[in-house]
Amino acid sequence: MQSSPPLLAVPAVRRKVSVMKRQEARLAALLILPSTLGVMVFAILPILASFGISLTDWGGLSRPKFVGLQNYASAFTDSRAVSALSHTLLYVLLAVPTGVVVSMLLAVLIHNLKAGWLRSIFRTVYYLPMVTIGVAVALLWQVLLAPQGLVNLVLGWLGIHGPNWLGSPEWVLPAVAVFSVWQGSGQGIILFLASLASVPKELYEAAALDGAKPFESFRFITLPMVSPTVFLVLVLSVIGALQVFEAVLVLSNGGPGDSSTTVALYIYKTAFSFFKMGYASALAWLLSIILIVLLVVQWRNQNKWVNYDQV
Amino acid sequence: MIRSETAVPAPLSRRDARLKARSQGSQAALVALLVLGALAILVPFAWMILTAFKTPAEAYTWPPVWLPAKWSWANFKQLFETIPFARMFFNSFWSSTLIACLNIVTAAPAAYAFARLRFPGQGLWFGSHLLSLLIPWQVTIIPVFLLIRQLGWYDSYMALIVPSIASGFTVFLLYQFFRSLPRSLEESVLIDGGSWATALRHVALPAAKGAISAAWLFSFLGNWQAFIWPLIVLQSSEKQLLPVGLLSLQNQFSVNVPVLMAGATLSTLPTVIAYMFVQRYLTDAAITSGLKG
Repeated sequence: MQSSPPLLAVPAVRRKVSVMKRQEARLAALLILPSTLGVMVFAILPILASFGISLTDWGGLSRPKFVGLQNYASAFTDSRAVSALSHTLLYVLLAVPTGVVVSMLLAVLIHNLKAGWLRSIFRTVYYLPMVTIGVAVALLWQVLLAPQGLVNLVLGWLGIHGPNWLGSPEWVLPAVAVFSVWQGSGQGIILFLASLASVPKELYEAAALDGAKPFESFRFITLPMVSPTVFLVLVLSVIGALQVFEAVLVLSNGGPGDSSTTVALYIYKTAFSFFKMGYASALAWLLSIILIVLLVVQWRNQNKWVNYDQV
Repeated sequence: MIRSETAVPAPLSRRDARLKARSQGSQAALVALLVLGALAILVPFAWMILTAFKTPAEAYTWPPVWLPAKWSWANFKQLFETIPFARMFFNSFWSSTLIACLNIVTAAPAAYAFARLRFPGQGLWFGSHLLSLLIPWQVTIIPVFLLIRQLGWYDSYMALIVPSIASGFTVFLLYQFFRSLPRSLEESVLIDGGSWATALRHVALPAAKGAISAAWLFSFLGNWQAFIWPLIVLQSSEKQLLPVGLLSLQNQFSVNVPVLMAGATLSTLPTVIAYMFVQRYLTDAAITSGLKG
C-alpha cells in the first residue's frame, strides 16, 4: 500500500489535517458507492445466500426445506457427480499442461524473430480466437472434428485414421482440450512475450561468451526468468479449466452419454434443467473448495521452482 | 585512405558471412514453424467462411472439397429466415456497449479511490471487489437468478444489465493503472489548495484515457461473448443475444452445417476486423491485468 500524500502532521495543523481526512473519506465513500453496491448485491450477498441455499432442498419456487449438510453428503454417493469430477480433472490434466507448453513454445519462437513486423503479425494471429464468440468457434470446431471433417482429413495426410472425436467416450475430452488450446493459447502467448521481453539481453550475451548452447541458455536463463509468468499462466489456466462449461455444452452437450459432462455442466443441468437449487449450490461450493485446494497446493509449491529474484 | 581503414579484413568477413547465413537460416526455420502454427489458427476460419457458401451436399462429401462449386448467398438468406439474426446482433451490440459504459462509469471512480485515497474499510471494500472477481460463477449464479425472478425481471433486459453494472474486473484493471500513475501531478494540485476531486477530474482521468479505452474494450468484448447469463435469464428469441442465438441454430438445424457456418461467420467477422485496429490496446491491457474473463 502507498503512503498518504505529504501532509504536514505537526500539532499546529492537526485539526486541518483531520478535516482533510474526513473530506477524503467522504469523497471516497461517494466514489466507491455505485460499484460497491453492485458488488455487494450481485456477488457478496449471493455468496452468502448460496451457502444458505446449499443447506436446503429447494426447487426455487416452493418453500425451501432445511436439510443441513445432506446435499454435501449426497454428492459423494452421486455417481454422476463423481464421474463429472473425474471428467473435469482429466480435462484439467489434458488441457492445462498442453496449453502452457504450447503458448510458451510459440512465445519463445515469436520472441526470437528479428523482424518487428513479423513478431506483431504472429502475435495478432495467435490472439485472434480470443476475440471471437466462444459459441461460434465451438460450432466451427464441431464441424472440423466431425468424423469426415477437416481434422481427420489432415490426420489422413499423415497416415493416421482419425477417430469420431465427439462421438466416442474416450476421445471427446481430448477433443475439447484441443479446441480450448486452440482458442485460449493467445492469452498465454502475450503474457509470455511480455515476460520474455523483460529478460536482460546481457545475460544471454554473457552465457554465449561462456560457450552456452541455445538449449542451455533457455534452460538456465529463460526458464528461471519467466517462471513467475509460468506460474501466473498455470494458475489462470487451472481456474479456467476447472470451470469448463461453454466448450463442452456446445461441442458435445456432455455426451456421448455422460462421458464429457464436467462439474460446471452438471451443476448447470442440476439447477436449470432439474431445478434442484439446493443440491446444485452444494456442488458449486464443493467445486470452489477443490479450486481453492488446487490453488493453495500450487502456491505452496511455487517456491520450489518459481524464481522471484529479478536482476 | 578512409576507405581502406573501414574495410574489414577478409578472414573475419568470411566468418561473419557464415554466422549471418546461419542466423538467417535459423530465422527462416522460426518463421516456418510459426507459419505452421498460424495456419492452424487461420485455416479453421477460412474453412468456416468457405463452408458458409457451400451447399449442404458439398459440406458432407468425403474427401472434403475446399471451394464451393458455385458461390451462393442462399445460406445467409436461410440464416435470416431461421432466427432473427439481425435483431440478435443488434441486441448484443447495444447491450454490450451500454454495459461497458456503465462498467467504466462505476469502476473508474472506485478504482481511483482504492488506489489513491485513504478511508475506513478500504481493504474490506476492495477485497469484496476482488472476491467478486475470483468466486466461481457457479456459486453466485443460482442466488442471483432467484433474485432476478423474484423481482419479476425474468426475460427482460433489466435481468441482463442490472447485475452487470458493477465489474470487479474493470475496477481491478483501472486500479492497477492508477497505482502506476506518478503521484507528482496530483500532489501539485493538492499543494495548490485543490481537492482530491479536482485532482481526479483534471489530472488522473485525462491521464487514464488509454487505460479506460482498453478497459472499455475488454468489458465490451466480455459481454459480447457472454453466454451463460443470457442463456439463463432471457427466453424470447426476439430479446436473445448472439451467442445463445447461434446455439439455437444448432438445435433447430443440427444437420444444416452451411447455415450454421454462415451464422458463425457473420458473428465472428465484426470483432475480428475491429480487433485488427485496436489490437495493441487490447493485448497491452491483457498483460497489465494478467487476467481476462
